[in-house]
Amino acid sequence: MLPDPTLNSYLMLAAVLFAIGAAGVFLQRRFIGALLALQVMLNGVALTFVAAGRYFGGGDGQIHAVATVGLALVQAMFGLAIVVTLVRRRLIAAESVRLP
Amino acid sequence: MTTWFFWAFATVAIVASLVAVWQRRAIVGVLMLVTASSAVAGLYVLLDSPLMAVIQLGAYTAGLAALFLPVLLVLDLPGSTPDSRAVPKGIGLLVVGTLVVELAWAFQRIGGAELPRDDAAAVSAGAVFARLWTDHLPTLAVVVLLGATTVAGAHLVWREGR
Repeated sequence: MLPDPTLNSYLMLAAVLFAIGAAGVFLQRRFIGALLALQVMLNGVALTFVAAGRYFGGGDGQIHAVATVGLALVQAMFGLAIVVTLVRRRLIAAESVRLP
Repeated sequence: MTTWFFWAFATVAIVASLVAVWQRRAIVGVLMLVTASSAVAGLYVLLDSPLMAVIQLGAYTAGLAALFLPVLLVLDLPGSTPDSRAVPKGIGLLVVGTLVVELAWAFQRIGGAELPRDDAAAVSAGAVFARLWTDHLPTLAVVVLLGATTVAGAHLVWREGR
């Protein structure tokens, strides 16, 4: 029988997602892969906010999660703009963009 | 039933995230990230946060797909081309290992805390919106301003690259 999920279950899951994303950011060779890993990290962050908000009550957790989602979209947009620019200038093949 | 849903969503989120991060084809990675985000949205529903689930699915997941997929398709990316690492593998493994040990230590120190089961602890979407427009207006303003600035900046970068 599976254990009932507690606050710790959600926090642990969020931490695992964050760790997977962090591993990708540190170990991924490609720029787009690193961007995807950052999104996974931010998924974990948002899940932490919502779970903590549910535990403590009030809507603050959800509001901060909304802000996190907004920032995630912003960084994805800018990262992709950089990739498109570099590829258009034929400076790199998009899959082989290195992290700075 | 909630227990089963939680573990199902958690499994999907972890597996899809792993595939998204370690895939060799970018398109597959984006699709897996969309899958992981959808699973996280399911977890938001379990946490009585339907507003966040809608935002996650309607804005974040759809936004990611709308941002990544056209770019990857237009660029017509070739297959993976392994390259030398910008960050040495040893340093990356050390940082990740430290993070995992730290997480394990932190979760050993705190006990299990039951989530409140009563509906009174859940916050309605209307209440969240009301607080967003009153108590957290500066946060909203900063995010919107940052988003607008990024759109303008991305447009400039894109034009510069033409």
